[in-house]
Order: sequence, then structure tokens, then C-alpha cells
Amino acid sequence: MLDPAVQDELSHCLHCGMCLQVCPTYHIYGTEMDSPRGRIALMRAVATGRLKVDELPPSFTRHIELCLGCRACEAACPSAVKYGHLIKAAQTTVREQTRESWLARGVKWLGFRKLMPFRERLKVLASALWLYENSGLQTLFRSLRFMPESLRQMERLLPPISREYFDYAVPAPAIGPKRGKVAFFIGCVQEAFLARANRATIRVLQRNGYEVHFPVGQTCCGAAQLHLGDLDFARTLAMKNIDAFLDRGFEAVISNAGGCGATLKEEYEGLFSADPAAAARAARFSALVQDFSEFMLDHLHEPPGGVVKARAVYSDSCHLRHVQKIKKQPRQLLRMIPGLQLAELSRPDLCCGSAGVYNIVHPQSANAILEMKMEDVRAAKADLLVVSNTGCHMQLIAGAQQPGPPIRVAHIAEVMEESYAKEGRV
Amino acid sequence: MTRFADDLTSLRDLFATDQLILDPVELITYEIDAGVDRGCPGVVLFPADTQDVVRAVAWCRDHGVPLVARGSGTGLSGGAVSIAGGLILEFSRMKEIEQIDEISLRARFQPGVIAQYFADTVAARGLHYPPDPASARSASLGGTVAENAGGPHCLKYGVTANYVMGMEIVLPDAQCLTLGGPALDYPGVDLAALLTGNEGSLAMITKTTVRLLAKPPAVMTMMAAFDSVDLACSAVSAIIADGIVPATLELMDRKMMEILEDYTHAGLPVEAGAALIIEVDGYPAGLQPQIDRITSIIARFKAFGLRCTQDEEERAAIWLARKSVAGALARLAPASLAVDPTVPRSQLGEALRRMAKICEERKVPTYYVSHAGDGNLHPQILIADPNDEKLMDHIRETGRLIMQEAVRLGGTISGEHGVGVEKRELMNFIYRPDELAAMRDIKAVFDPEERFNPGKMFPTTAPEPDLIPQRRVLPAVQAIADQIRTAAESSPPGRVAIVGNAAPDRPAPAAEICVSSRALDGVLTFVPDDMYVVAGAGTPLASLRGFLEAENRILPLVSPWEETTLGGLVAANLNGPLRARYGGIKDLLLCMEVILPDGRVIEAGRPLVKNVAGYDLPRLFVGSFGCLGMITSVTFKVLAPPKARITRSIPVADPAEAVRVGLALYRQTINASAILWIKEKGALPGKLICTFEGLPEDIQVEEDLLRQISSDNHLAAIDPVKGQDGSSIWADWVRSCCDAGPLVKYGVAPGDLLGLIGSQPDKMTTNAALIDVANGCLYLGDDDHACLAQNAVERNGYAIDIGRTPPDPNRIFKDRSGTRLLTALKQRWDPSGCFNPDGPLL
Repeated sequence: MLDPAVQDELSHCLHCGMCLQVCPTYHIYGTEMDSPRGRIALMRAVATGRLKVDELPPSFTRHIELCLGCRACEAACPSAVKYGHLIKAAQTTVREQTRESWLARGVKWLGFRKLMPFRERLKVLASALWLYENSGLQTLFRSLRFMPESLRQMERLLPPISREYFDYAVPAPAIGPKRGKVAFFIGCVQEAFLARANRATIRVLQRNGYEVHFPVGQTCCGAAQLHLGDLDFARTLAMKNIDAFLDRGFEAVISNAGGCGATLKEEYEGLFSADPAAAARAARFSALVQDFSEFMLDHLHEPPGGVVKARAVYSDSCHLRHVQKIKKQPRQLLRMIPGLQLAELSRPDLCCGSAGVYNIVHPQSANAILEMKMEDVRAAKADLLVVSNTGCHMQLIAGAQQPGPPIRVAHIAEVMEESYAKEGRV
Repeated sequence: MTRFADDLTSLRDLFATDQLILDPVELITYEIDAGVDRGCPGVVLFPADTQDVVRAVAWCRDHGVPLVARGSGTGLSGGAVSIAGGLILEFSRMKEIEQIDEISLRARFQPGVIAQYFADTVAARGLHYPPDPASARSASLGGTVAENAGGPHCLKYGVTANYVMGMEIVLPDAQCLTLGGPALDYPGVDLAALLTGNEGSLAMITKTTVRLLAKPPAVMTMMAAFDSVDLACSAVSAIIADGIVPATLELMDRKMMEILEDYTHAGLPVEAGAALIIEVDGYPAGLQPQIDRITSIIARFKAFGLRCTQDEEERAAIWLARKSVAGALARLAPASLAVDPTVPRSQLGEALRRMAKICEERKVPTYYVSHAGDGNLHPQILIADPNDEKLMDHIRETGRLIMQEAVRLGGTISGEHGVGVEKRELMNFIYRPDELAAMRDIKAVFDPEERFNPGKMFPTTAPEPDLIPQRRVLPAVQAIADQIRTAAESSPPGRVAIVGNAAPDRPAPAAEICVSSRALDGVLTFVPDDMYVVAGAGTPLASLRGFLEAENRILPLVSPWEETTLGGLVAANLNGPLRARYGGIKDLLLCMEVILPDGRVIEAGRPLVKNVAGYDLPRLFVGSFGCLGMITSVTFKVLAPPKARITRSIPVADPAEAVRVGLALYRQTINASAILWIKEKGALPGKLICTFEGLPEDIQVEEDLLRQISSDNHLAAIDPVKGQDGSSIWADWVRSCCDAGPLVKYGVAPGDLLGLIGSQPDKMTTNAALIDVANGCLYLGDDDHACLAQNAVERNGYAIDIGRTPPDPNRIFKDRSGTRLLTALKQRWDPSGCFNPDGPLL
């Protein structure tokens, strides 16, 4: 926060307060220090030396940590303050100072370095958890009252696992006349735990005449590592991905998770700021990346024709809406589906509380935000909740389990594929 | 401070932990609002309800702790900054819309409701709450009420004060009061009107009742470019002079457009000297004719590059450019001082020129966007380094010079942002010591210990002599003032009675001094460009209307009596059916000259459509029945006459049926200037009278609607009424009724009319009756009224006698909880109680 670039960015905030109402934590707490403007005021206090950077008070740390990083405030900011950069700087400073327990460090090391970058390991874990879900163990666990809350929270977020894994060994051919060649960014957690979303994405691309490739060297996007301050490792992952996709004649690299896409598009170049040549390659790679709905709306050669009878709401992924600025496309695609009635949430710009690992680290706040989101969904009388990001997907499945009328949660590609399938197309 | 820390323990006992912020690090985030002034509170408290507010205020009272109300902290004048330490009462958790009454078009809300959310919520029900400050997406309604917020749409629709009807407040002594309510024109002084814009210095507003409008069904936006700011300003005046009232008229100069275009790429005409964003609303059929008319008017000022749209997306693009001012400026400098002087519309071009000169000479980069329709300028002064105190002083001084220039041109220091800390010293520029003293008296009555928002609004320094020229008081006014002063200073003090414009020597009790406004008859100033007229208080309304008619202007006020004077009308606050269409006396009154009971002559308010500097003194004298001072002149805004007017009559025997039909019309029309049911004494059939006035196309739509509703209700044929309209029919009826005997006016929310007339249906059949549906009024020629009056009061309404003479205080029925404040104010100005002692002070 003492970095001149950060200080300069801090000075652009005019504290007009236009960010307040779009901030999920301000929504649940109603307090300035849990708003973007308030957090900037706290950062300024550090930048001006009012708070000492080497002995940050606990209340400072707490309010900085409570930010979900959804960046809804950036979209609302009339002064275009790059809040995402600011909060990342502040959270990095905070994390440099907090001495985590060996257990927490161990879990993070295992998760972010040893699991997420390895799709196959994740699938093994997913298979184990599938067994857990389907063997009665889950029922047993949920009946045990003495389990620690943090574990319960993680368990709550576990979606029903599908093991319909796609075979990525060979490219998926275009169905009908071939119109182009695209690459698919497989990702990590979504592939392991929510396999249907990826299957459907690939299928919809095929149906529209695209040959879909799966470059072998690709790995996790590095968003989680990046946001938790493990920049070196994030850089390694980024490099792998750039090498895997760049200069291979792909018309586009399709990502179907808002958070991953935002990282691929917006963060990679900055990771290589010290190396102009690498940064230039990163920029060229980022220019290739397109979100699934962004690409589909422009390349929808075969509109879906089967009737999907549902009253749906689309829940924006924050990183899709606020960072990638994609909000019209998924809605337009959904409106094309016969029989599907698209309602709008009263606060579509509000985060669902997932925010990477936020819902595991700050369960109380995340659950309050989720509750707010589900209230909005129920008020819209929806029976189908359409998502476009892995974290939201899992969080909202957990939300949909709350008492009330049943709500199905599905990735937008799954809904489109359902329509194609119902039409009787193979 | 130690003491304060000790006290906090007792505060902790009173409130839950999550209602208090005491951590010094967390308190840093409450040091500032959206302006530039700072101050650190000792504690922030989040009340959950009115009871919490009462307890917090009582705690502050008992411990001598200053208290500042805060909503979302989006104000621009430091209003919510705690410059004296103490306690911030943060209303963000009191965010319930308690009621939206879709029949009466009223809503009641708690202060923490977000303005945009409220506007959207009522819009979803086809209703319209017009105040739309730029901060609406975040601003709390409590803040908009306390600061009397405006916005681009107040040109046509007025500011927050024009919508506030009632409040629940907590006074500094921790008393909770209800003022006003869902009925219009409660007898007596409208304290809720005075409290709108009080900047948290008089009371904590815990609930507010506002009126809503039917939503205009369509809107059209147009952008036009001009060679120069002057031409654009002239075009603005010409549009308004023509009688078109656009919903907005926003002006941008070239400098501003260049940086906006860089930022938003909205296709602004950057090659032009200036551009106007003009928006008209109404029925779809009426939009194009308005735009055509505007186009032909602005062609005279060489307008070019016209861009016109009804498309929501394109409209959003145009407005995005306008609303991106702060963002675009933030790219040029880390901070800016946004000030909001307002000048008479005709002076806008001159004001911009003079301000540009000041800023150029002082080398201060400044950009302008203006609500041109109401002369509200928004110079944005860039601040290269907000931490550079020397620079800040230079910037503040520049702001001061700009304001001084605005005041010289007949303007004010604040059109919508409020005074707060930022502009308190500038109050000396605009108000004379006597006027400031009158405002301080109000503060002293409400908050004698200066506990609420201390240090705000009032200047801390004495004014430099001759900063404002002495008020030129007419000899006739001075003569009356001298008489009043002599009476007040003699021992024992002489009893003063105001006798309207009757002869001052009319028979009177021995010790009584009668002052008359007879010598104050006539139009003093008429300013067609700025659309206002100043007239002596003794001028009969009828003669002013005659004068304006010759000038092709109207003042939408009516009195049943030929001889009613302007002073009398204001003091009695008598509004007719036109009120629903054009607002009441308090909405049309810009300012006035008053002789206070001690003989001081003050100018209350300024002749500007937007002025939020200080308390709204003119409102204090509306409905005061001469108890607080003698009105000597009044300044009203005037309007262009409506292009078309039709009046229709339908026989309806049953008053309840008439009210039902009337309410349906009220809910769905935007041009109705009278919706009345009227019946003579005896068992004669009544009739429904409706007048619509406005654009011919809009009138046609509403006439069709009337036909539709009456056929749905199987009513008899509709007859056109020639030579009369709803107002004149009302006036004739009231006059003849008063001649026959006592006439009582009952006021309730329009939706309560059914219940009110249903409580004593036989009264409707035997007596002469008139129901003004849109204004929620029932007039009954009836002497025995206690029962019905009680019923009205139970519905938060009132009853009062209407007649040529002031009403008998004992026959007035209303909640009188605010009276003690008015009595205390009168006590300050008239300690002996000899000034107009018989008038009802309510």
C-alpha cells in the first residue's frame, strides 16, 4: 500500500459513495468499513502513515479480508478507480503479516499447489467424494453434530458429483459443416466436480460447426493462487497455459467459467510486467480468450429449438459481469430457448457469496450474502437458476438446498444443450 | 475526552454491540462524506427504529454530546461530517418503505431507504417520485429530505420539498412528534416543510410521508448543439417562455464535452460551443409535437446536430455521458470541489462568463455542467493535490469568489447541495444579519443547546459591512414597520391586529392598532425571463391574475372572493382544486417580505426556483394567519398558460360512486386540474366535474380515459361545460355556501374520502357538499361538524372553517403536536404576545 502506483490509484477515489449499494458486504453489514469506499479510506490511512504498515490493527485486517473481490464497485465507480488492484495490494500486505497456522498453510499448499493444477488428481478426489455421497457416508456426516463448523461449511458446498467425464484425448469434431476451430479451456474444479457443464459446452460448440481442441499442456488458470498472493506459482501456471494455446491456429480459446476467463483475459499480462516479451505473449493469448456466451452469441449458427419449460433467472458471475463486462450475451442466448421464460433478479449485480474460497474462509458472511441472493431468486419465482461460473455454481447448489420450492441449478451451456437434445438432435 | 470515554459505557448498556462502532480504526471510515470536509466522530450508532433514535438522542442530551445524522454519506457539503466529535446517528438500518398507498398516491418511508430503490419501487407500480439527485443510486431518502435534494428533473417537477407532506421527528430534547401527514394543507404552519432542508440541525427525521404522481407513460430525449453557451442559454429561456416545460434541460459546454467524449464516446457534438440535453415526457401522442415545437424554437438560436430518441438504449448513452462528469474529471485530477451556485435563469450565460474569468485569472481549472432550466450551475474545480493546504485555501477562495458573483447576479450559494460546513461562511453573502438572526431563532427554538449538527449552516464570522446592499424598503412598508415597532416597544405593548386590505381605521378595540396592507397594492416587479412576479401583499389575487393574463402568464391560485389579497391568501393557505396539478401556495411561493412582530423587515427566501441555503423561511409564514409577522410582499413563480383546457360534467347522484370514479382518474391522469363532485343544498342530484389542462394531445388521451371510466361505471352522458372550469365552479360554490352559513373543509388522504363520507352519509344528502377528490377535501355547508371532524382527525386529517375572516381556533380540528414549537418561536419574536393575538397559531 506504500507503492506509489497504489497511492496514486487511492487518490482517484472521490468518496462519492456510488459503490455502496452494489457492495455485498455493505449490503449485509451496512457499515462504511465494509464498503469499497471505507476500505479505501482504511488503505489511505496506511498510505499516509496514520496506520503503521508493519503493525496493522486487527480491525483493519478483518475488513480488508472480508472483501469478496467481486469488483461490482468498479462497474459502479464514476471515477473508474481500479479497486481490484487496490484490494489485491491490501490483501497481499495483510497476508504477508498474518502468520497462518501450519494446518492452514498445509491445506493451502495441498489444495492450490498439489491439487488444482492437476486435473487427474482432482478427479480421483472427486471420485472418492462421489463414493462418499453415494454410500450413505454423507447422510452419516450430516447427522454428526460435533463436526467443526469449517468442515461442515466445506461439506455443505459439495455438489452432487457427476462422473460423466469427457475424453479429451482427441479433438471433438464439428457436427454438420465445419465452421472453425476453437480450443476449450478445461479448468480444474469444474471439470472434476461439475463435469456436465464442460460436456455441454463442448457439445454446443460442436453443434454450431466448431471443431473443439483440448491442448494437452493446459492447466488451472491460477486465479486462486493469484488472489491469495502466490504470484510465482500463478506465473508458472500462466506460462503453461500460454504455451499450450498460443499460435496453434485457434480462432478462440473458450472459457466457460467467469472467474477463470477473467483471470485469463485480464491478469496474465500484469503477471509478466517485469518481462516485456512474456507480457506481449500473454497479451496475445488474452486477446484470444472468449467467454462461452460471448462467443456463442456471435457464432450461433444453429439456434436451439427444443422446448425447455422453465421460469429461469440468470445469476451473473461477478467476474463475468464486472470484469469481463459480459451481461447481455447470456441473457440473449437464454431468451432464444423456446419455452424458457427469463425473469430478472432485482439485484443481478450482487455477488452470491462464493468468491473463490471466500465461502470457506468467511462462511458467516458468505452465507448471509447467499441468503440474500436466494431470497431474490425465490422472489422471482424461478425454478431454474442459470449460472456461468464454477464457484457460483457450487454456492448456488448449496443455496438451492435451502427450504422452499425446488430450484434446479445449471450452467448456461447445460440449458442450451438440453434444448438441442429435446429438439431431437443427436 | 476522558469524560466521553466514561460516558460510552452507559451507551454500551443501552444498545447492542453490533449497533455501535467505537473502534478508532473503524471510525476513520466515518470521517468524511462525499465532500471535502473532515471530522472524526467518537462513536457511530445504528438505530433500528424510532425508539432507538429517541434513546440515542436522550443519551446525547443527558451527556451533553453533539449528534450528527448520517444516511449514506453522499452529501457534498459536509452535512454528515461530525466536526465536533460526538455521536453519528447512522440511519442505514432503518430502511423500510412502510407504505405505498396506490389510491391516495402517498408513501411513507424510513430515512435509510435508498432513493433510487424507492423511485424504482414506486415506478414498478406506475407511480412517479421525481426528485433524482445524481447520487440517488446510493443516497438515503433521509438525506435527500434533510438536504432538500433536487436533480435534473426538478425543472418540471420541483425539489424534494414539493413532495414532503409529513414527518415523524425526534427533537433534541428527545421528544418524538408527528408533523403533517397524508392530507394536504393542514391548518396552520407546515413545520414539515420548514424541516425539509434543515440539514440535520433541527430534528432527526425518523419517517417521512411524501406524495407521488402518476407516472408519465412516455419520454423522449433530444440533444442539440449550439455555437456558443450564450445561444444555448437563450434557447433555454425561449423554450420556457413558450410555455413548454421539458422534464430536463441540461447544458454542457465544449470543454466539458471534450473530456466526456474522450471518456464515454457517446457521440457528443464536441465541435459545438455548447449542447443541451432536452427531455420531454407525457403521453406518446404529445411528445412529437413538443419536440417539433422545441425544434422550431431552438432553430432561432442556430441549433444544429439534433439527435432525438425514444429508444431506451440510446437515451441511456446520452445520459451516461452526462452522468460521467465525475469520472471524466477524476482522470484529470485526484479531487475536485463541486459547488452549486444558482442564478436566475436569464443570468446563466453571464454567470458562466464571469465565473470562467475568475477561474482563468486564478489559474484554477474548472469545468461546468448545469441544470440550465433552473439556473443551477455546477462548476467543478479541479484539485491537483487535496493534501496541499495552500492550494486548498486557494481553491476555497476561488469557490468563494464564484459564489459571490452568483449572489451579485441575484443568485444563491446553493441550489441543491446544502450549506453544511463547506458554505457556512458564505451565508453572509446571501442573507442579511436580520435574516440570519431569524434563522438562528428557529434553531434556538428547536435546539437551544446546539446539540444537533453543531457548527453547520451558520457563519462563524461576522459579516463584513455592506457585503449585501441594504434592503430597499418601500416607504409604505417602513411606515407600517415603524407602527409595529412602536407598539411593541411601548409600555405596556400595544395590541396589533392585521386587517388585510380593509381600511386601517376600521372600528377596533381601544388599545388596538390596526395595520392594513391597503397601501401595499400593486405589482412591484414582473420578470418575464425568470418567470416570477413580485406584488404587494395588499394586491387582490384577482387583479394580479388580470395583470398576468395580459402578459400571457398564469398564477395557478384561485380564491372564491374577489377581494382576497395575496397576503391574506398566503397567511390563510387556501388552495383550490388546481393544487393537485400545480402544487399549493407553498410550492409556488418563492420568497416574501415580512415585518416581524418587533418591527424588523426581512426578506424571507430569494426569488429563485432552487435555493437550499439556510432554512426555508417563507414556508413559516404560509398558514401562519398573521401570528408570526405581517407579510408585505410576495414573490410567486408564474407559468405559461396551458395550451388547451376542457371541462366535463357527468351527473352522479351517489357521492361514493363519484369518489370512486374520481380516484381512478386521479391515479391515472397527469393533467387533471380539477376532479370534483358538487351538489347544492337540498336533495338535488350531484355531478362530477373534471377539468384537464395541458397539451391538446394529452388532454385528448385523458378525455378518452374519462369516457372509458364513466362507461365502465355505467354513468350517464358526459356534458361539455362551456365558459367555466373546475376552479371557477369551486370558487362560485364556496362563495355562495359561505354566504349562506358556515362552511367546513375536511382534509384527508384522497383514499380516505370514501370512509369519511361513508361515516355520515345523510350529511351528504341534506347539505351542500363539494368533494375535491384529487386534493382529498370535503367541503360541507354545515354548522354541526364536530363528529365528522373527529372522524377526519382519526384518519390523520383535519377540519377547518372556510370563510372571509380567519377561522375560529376552537372550531379547528387537527393534531396540534407541533404547536408548542411555533408558540416558542412566537414568544421569541413577540414576547408580550400582543401581535395579532387573536389569530390561530397552529
